[in-house]
Amino acid sequence: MKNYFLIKNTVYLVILFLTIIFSGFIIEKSNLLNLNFNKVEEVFSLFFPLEYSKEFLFITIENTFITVSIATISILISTFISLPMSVFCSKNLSSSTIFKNKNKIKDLSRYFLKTNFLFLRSLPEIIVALLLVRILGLGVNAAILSIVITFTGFMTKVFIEIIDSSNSISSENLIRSGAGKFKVFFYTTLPLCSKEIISYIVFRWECAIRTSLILGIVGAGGLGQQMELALKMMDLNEVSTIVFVLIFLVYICDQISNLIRKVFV
Amino acid sequence: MYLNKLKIFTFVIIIIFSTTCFIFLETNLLEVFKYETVLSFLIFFKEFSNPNISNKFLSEVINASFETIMISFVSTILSSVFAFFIMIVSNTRNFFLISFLKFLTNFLRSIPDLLWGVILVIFFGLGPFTGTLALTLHTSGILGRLFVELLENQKIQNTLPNFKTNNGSFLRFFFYYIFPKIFPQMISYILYRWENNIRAASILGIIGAGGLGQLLFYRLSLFHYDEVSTILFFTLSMVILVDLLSSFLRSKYTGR
Repeated sequence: MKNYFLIKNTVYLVILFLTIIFSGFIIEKSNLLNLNFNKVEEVFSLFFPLEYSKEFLFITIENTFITVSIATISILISTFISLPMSVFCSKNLSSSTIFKNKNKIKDLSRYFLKTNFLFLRSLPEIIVALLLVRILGLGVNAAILSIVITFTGFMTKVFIEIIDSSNSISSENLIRSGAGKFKVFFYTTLPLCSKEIISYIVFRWECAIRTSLILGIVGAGGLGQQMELALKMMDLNEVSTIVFVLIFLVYICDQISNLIRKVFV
Repeated sequence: MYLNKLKIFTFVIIIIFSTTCFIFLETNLLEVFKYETVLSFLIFFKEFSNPNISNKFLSEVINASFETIMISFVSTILSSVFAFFIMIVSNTRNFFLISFLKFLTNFLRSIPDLLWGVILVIFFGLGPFTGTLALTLHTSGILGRLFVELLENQKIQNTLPNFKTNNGSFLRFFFYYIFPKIFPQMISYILYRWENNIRAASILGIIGAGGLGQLLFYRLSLFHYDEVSTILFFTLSMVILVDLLSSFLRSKYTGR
């Protein structure tokens, strides 16, 4: 028996090793070997006197606020969409699973809704933004809408899991005595799992800030766009200032979300 | 009572903050529902409805999606190795080393992967190698922090002295006592990162780092919408496939 496990694990290891080597070959036909390190040093020295003129710092701070507000608004909207949707999709709050009357139409419609959210979350947000920029034009609207579309998918999936894994005794009792879905949700389920829901929303807020930074590259405004423009103009000292602002921003957002988590959890 | 004064106060602050965000941006989100926008949506979807499935193009797309999967796979493996080393090194009492590691992981983590790619393209030129490196740096930051937290939560300071009196080194202690305990959690973190990385790898082509994104960006710039819809279908199916695979592996290794 011990021998069997040893052979199995060795086979797994060999397969893993072979895939790594194989994929290494696919990725690059030896770009790694002719790296030019002289050039690296040269480029690195271009980054270094940091840019700190007054106008530049003012523009940077304004762009930072744009980034944060894009993230906040999109998280707000996607929370308002995904909470009711997760109530509709959850098994714990549905009367057809509790009474066991096998209402096939209700079950099918629930699965249909769930698979819709699977498609929403499986396209990366920047591709959605690329397509939406064609339709809505450049600007903040495309960024907000693309974050809302993808994050609604993620948040609905997780909220459904949270509601379904919570204690179902009280909600079942309420449904058996004839309460509606939303009443049950607000009176039993939300008090029970508000901690998890809030901490997940805060976590998603951090993710949304990172995403809205990225979305600047396709022209959606904010700090990312400023960085992309500076890179295109080869103003590398501006880029290094923006990178420091970015690190500071992410650090502050971490602290804020820790604070919110401490208050609510 | 699950609402006290502090919580209501924070709620009010959050609401004030989000309204200031709305006012600051000065956009009208209702523009999305205007007549012209809906019309252009419909035109867009009509152009998408006949995907290009000629043999030559399909082989190109399949090659590119292979490349994407490989980029995400290699970067996940490499970054998990780096994060593992960071985790082992982080078990010291040296204050400077600890703060240095904290700064390093925060630095790597706070720059998003695409922006890492934009910076690294200047250094290493275009190609999949740059994409792999960018993903590796970002992911090793995140995984490093998660792994270090995992090790901190084990409360090893109580059991380590016991082990040391019996002539065991830290590495031995780690591999016999800690590693079996935290292995399932590590696997689930790595798989979660792989799911994120496949999404990131499929868009890294926008900055010229190879894979499916590069194909997508070229075709989108040339307005070949029939080919774009094929590429989008492949992206979608690839992401869903990786999600299913990782959920299977997670249930196998962690029993969840």
